[in-house]
Parts: sequence; C-alpha cells; structure tokens
Amino acid sequence: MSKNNLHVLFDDDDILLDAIKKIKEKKYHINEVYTPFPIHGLDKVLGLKPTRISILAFIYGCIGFTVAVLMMNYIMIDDWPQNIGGKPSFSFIENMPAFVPIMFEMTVFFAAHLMVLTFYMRSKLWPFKKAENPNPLTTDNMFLIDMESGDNLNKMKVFLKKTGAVSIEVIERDDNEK
Amino acid sequence: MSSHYEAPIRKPLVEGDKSYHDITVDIARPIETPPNKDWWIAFSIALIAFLWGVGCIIYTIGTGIGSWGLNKTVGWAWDITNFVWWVGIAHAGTLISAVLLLFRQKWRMGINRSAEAMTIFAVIQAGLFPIIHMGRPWLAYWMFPLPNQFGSLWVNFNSPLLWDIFAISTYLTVSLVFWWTGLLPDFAMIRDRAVKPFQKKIYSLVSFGWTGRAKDWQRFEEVSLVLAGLATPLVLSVHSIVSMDFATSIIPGWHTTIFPPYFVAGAIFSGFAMVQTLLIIMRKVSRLESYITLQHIELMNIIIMITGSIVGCAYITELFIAWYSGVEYEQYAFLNRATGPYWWAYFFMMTCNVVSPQIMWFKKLRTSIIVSFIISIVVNIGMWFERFVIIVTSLHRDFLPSSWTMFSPTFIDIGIFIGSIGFFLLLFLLYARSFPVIAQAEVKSILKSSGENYKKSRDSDE
Amino acid sequence: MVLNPDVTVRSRGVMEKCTLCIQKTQKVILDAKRDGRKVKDKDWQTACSDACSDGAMVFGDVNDKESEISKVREGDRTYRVLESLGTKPNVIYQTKIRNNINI
Repeated sequence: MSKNNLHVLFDDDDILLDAIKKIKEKKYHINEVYTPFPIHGLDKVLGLKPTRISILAFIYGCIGFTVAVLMMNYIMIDDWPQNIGGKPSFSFIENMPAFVPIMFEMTVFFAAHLMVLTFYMRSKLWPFKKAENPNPLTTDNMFLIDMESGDNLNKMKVFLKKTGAVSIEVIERDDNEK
Repeated sequence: MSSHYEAPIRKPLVEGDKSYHDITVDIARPIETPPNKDWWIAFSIALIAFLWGVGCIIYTIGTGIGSWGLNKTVGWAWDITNFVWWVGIAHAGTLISAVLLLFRQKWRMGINRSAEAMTIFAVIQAGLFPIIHMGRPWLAYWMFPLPNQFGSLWVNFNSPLLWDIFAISTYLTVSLVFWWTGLLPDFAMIRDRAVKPFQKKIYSLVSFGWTGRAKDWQRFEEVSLVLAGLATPLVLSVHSIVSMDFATSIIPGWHTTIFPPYFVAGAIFSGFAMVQTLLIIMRKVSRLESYITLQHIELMNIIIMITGSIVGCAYITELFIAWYSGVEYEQYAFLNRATGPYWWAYFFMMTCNVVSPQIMWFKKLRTSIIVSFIISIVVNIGMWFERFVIIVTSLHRDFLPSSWTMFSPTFIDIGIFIGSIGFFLLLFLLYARSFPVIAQAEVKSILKSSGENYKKSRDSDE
Repeated sequence: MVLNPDVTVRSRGVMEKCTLCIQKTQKVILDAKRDGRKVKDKDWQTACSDACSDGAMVFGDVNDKESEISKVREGDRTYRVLESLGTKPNVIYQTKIRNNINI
C-alpha cells in the first residue's frame, strides 16, 4: 500500500496551533504548514530550528565595513592623496571622522542587501518562481497542514476532524517519487 | 485566546466586523475593480504636470542651468530646496515601517505599506534634482568611485555631497527591498485570487513564488526585524548627512551644529504630513476606513505636533544662538530672514510650521479629518518654505555686501518642481490601484487582538 | 582643466580662477625630479609675479623659511580677506602704509 499525503485544512489559527500540538503528541509526521500570515508560536510548536539569518546579516555588515575602509584608504590615502582644505591626507586614522558616514552607509547597504538575497535564495523566492502552496486559499484565510497519512487512514481522519479540521484531502503518492 | 489579549483601553485598529476573508476582499478590491472617474481625473492632472516637468527638464539639459534663476551669489535655490524637501518627506515611510516596528506599535500595520510606497516615490523625486542640477548630467557617473583613465581621478570622500550619494543610494535601495519583501505575501494573495490570465501572470511574477511555508514566515519575520533595525539608524543618518551639505560650510545661517537633529525632526514632521495627506484621500476613495481608522489619523497628528514643536524649538535656538554668539554675520543672517526682502517666506515658514501644528493639542481638532487634511497640506507648504529660507536667504546676503543680490525662479524652476509633484502623484495613483495598499498579512495577524468585533466580545466577557 | 579634455579651451589670456600657475609649478617639479635635484624657492614665478616689475606681487615657497614670501607673511602689513573665518587662503594682501601713528 503506497503512503499518502494528507492536506488538512483549518479556518482558524488558534485551532491550527492546538491541532498541531495534538498531532505532534501522536507522533504523526508533518511535512509542511501553509498559512496566510505569520502565526506567533508556530515555528516553536513545529520544532523548527531558529533562523541564523540575522547572524549572517551581521557578518555581511562587517564585510561592508571592511570594503568601505579598504576602498577609502586606497583612494584617499594610498593612491592619490590630495590637500583638500588642509585635511590630513596621509593618515587614515587622522582623516577617519570624515569617512565615518560612508563607512556606516556601506555597512548598512551590504548587511541589508546580502541578507535579503540570502533570504530569497534559502526560501526559494525569485521572479518566475512558481508558487507551491497546494491550496490558493492559504493566502486568503485558510491554514493547511501537509502530513503523512500513516497506516490507518480512517483513524487519522476521525482524529483530525476532532482537532477541528475543516476538510481533509488525501493526495495519492507513488512510493517512487519523494 | 489569552495570547491575543489587548487592553480594552486601546482603540480597535480594525473597525467593524471583519474576518480574515473580509480583509482579503477589502484590500484586493481596488486592484480587482476598474478605477472610477475621480481616479482618472487625478491621474490626468498628475500626468499633465509630469509631462510639463519632463519638458522643462529636457529644456534644462539641452540649454543649460542658465535657464534657471541661479546666479553666482545664489548658487543653490529651488533645485536643492526641492531635493531636501523630497528627501525629508521620504523619511516618514521608513520611520513608520522600521521605528514603529521596533517599538511594537501595532497601529503601523494599516499604514506602513502606503507610507513606504510614498518613501520610494519621494526618494525618486529627490534623486532627480542632484542629477539635473549638474551642468552635464550625462557625466553623473563621475560621482562614483570607478577606476578611470584620468590617472584614476577619484571622488572626494571628505565631501558631504559625496556622502549624500552613498546615503541616498543606500536609502533608496534598502527602502525598496524592505517594501518589496513585505509585499511578497500580499502579492501572493492577489495572485491566488486572480482569474484573468494576464493578472495571474503579473502577480505570479512579482510575488516571487511566495508560498507561505512556516519556515518562510519565520525567516520573513526575522528579516523584517533586522531590516527595521538597519533602517532606523539609516533614516537618522541620511537626513543628518543631507544637513551636513549645509552645516559643514562656513555660510552664516548654515554653519551650525543644530542642523542634523533639526533636519531629522523636520523630515519626520513633513513626511508624516505627506502620509496624512495621501492616506486621508486614499482611505475614502478605496473604502479602507476600517483599516486606516480615526485612531491612525489621530496618532499621526500627535507625531506631527511633537516633531513640529521640536522644529519650533530649533528655530528659537537658532535665534538665541545668533544673538548669544555675538557673531555679527550670524546675527545679520537672522535679522535679514525676518525683516529682509524674503521676510514673507520666513513668515510662511513660522506660521505653517510652528503655529499650525499646535492646534493638535485640542482633541476635537486632531480627530477631525478635515482639519487633519488641511494642516497636513499647510505643514508641507511650510516645510518647503523652511528649506527655501535656509538656502536662499543665507546665500543671497552673506559675508561681502558687494556680492549681495536677489534670486527669483524662472518658469523652468517652477515647472520642474510641479513636474516632480505630478510624477509623485502619478506613481502613487498607479500604486493605489495595482499594489495591495495595506499590509494585509500583517493586519490579519493582529485581527484577533485589535479587531473591533474580537475586542468587544473579549471585553464583554470580563 | 589639466585632466579634463572636455572643458572648452578658452582663448589665450583668459583666466577663470587663479590656479597659481599650477602647470608651471608642475613643470618645475618634474624637471627637478628628472635632474635629481631639490626644488628651490627662486626656481620659478607665476606669470603675474613675473610680469610685475615693481615687486608688488610676490610668489614663492612658504615651506622655505628664508624665502621672500615667508618674510612677507610674517610681516605687520599682512592680512587675508575674511581672515576671521579661518580659511587661511594662499593669497594674502598687505595694507597700505598711511602717514599716521595707527596703521
């Protein structure tokens, strides 16, 4: 007997959270949850690892800062130092206050853009990408759990109806395709 | 439902008896229905103004800056006034999105999308002016540190004018990215409802395939928080840097350390006024009064009042310091502002900026839509005059009386300004009918805590 | 002007802004570099100080403490336009000597 996927629809976010808790208690496997808006506590209940993207943003910011310093040191101090209003053009440290605005802006620029690009890449978001939510109502007002059907399909259906599911759809799945 | 608890004293942020589906339908409606006559009239006016401005810009580039009213003494006038005015207006959008997010102010949800759109469109207008005020705009790329054949002649990193380039580019691109990322789930909502194939294609394209998985939302929230944390110091830095264009000079009336905080407060002041102007109209026309409530309008008025008062304090400080410093050039600069040939501009500035926001102390006035609208327009006019006064009156009479002269704008100066307003309105009108103008996913997430129906049933239980 | 081939070349004798004859200075520096010697104060003059036969215009090396220009700079008659602004321009003036006690 081939394993099936279940698409379980809910119409309320609190009921969804409770249902997920109960499903996890029964040790059924949840593949994915699709919601129209971020639900507070959903990632914890699903056991998702916290995202490390903010750490990356910090690193990207450091890269931006370094690029800014190296660029301005080369341009203003190494390559062509000029006497502009008597500013100390032979020492980066002495001239550094003038460079701070650009060091700051480039830090922010790199941190923001590289972080967002990383987010898009990791979540697979780009122009011409096809959407993968199984039910278009999941961007309107419905919440969908995609889960494994387990061995006893009818027992599952009864259980899920008790948790407050609005509808349960069985998606046939060959064992060959994953 | 204890996790959705909100104190009863807080006014509802979503009025009426709305469900998640209602929010979807209400926000999709302006996109899914054709625009009415009012929209077309406004669009035509904006288009004409825009085209007139384009013509004036082409004339300027073809003929030269001599077609403007500038002269040797007054080297900056309407061009830089308009630049600073537009950049200032832009700041409110980022403030609403970023700073109010960091302060966990739920009321930002109804207005942040449109406020950010306003930011993008305002920064575009601002960016026009530095480019067209160059004698040879086709050489604008010389402003970037690109290796070249002139011995690699580099740009001057000591100059605030260069800091501006980096600051404003960063500001425009980061705001754009913040706005677009927030739009992805909302575009997805339109995409999934779309029936017409062309609509489906377009919104599939711009939603980047947003699917709404739990991990995606987790990253989305983290990215929004980090972008907010980055955008907040960015907002403060950008207008401080713009103020340095003046503050780092030696001109009396410009060379003062109060400029960075004074300009930033002024920017927030004029920006919120512009958001107010746009939203008061949009909420009526697009029937979104349940989401952009009187509470939102009142809170924005309070911010306008506070920042207007800060600006007023800055004006008084400048006057005091001019006297206290004993520097006769500084003293004359301010005497000239109040009593010289441009006294009427100073008078506009003082009345519109200092006096008018004070009426917001009165609850009856700050909860009146008509008063809010009128004051928002008055503030924007006043803030334009503030930049005009700072720039032109300080330049036209500085150290050497032999250089003193008058400035008056030419039709081209005025035409380009009107064109920028037309372009701004054009962009906003197009946005209002093709983009989801309210962050509907965010509003859905606060429906249970701040929706009127939910609050009523919760409060009646107690 | 030196670096920018796009700037219109004016007719002979037209000055837009005084460059203190930077081209002359650069030539002197390069010649000295080629010859392996140091540049000295009296090696060159600007066009205007050269043309002035009465010595009203003095040009020289302010880094050389013995040069004429250094002595002029330290003098009692010296002032700069808008001196209180602290911009320290390289062009300095000397007041007229008047026949009274307070100059």
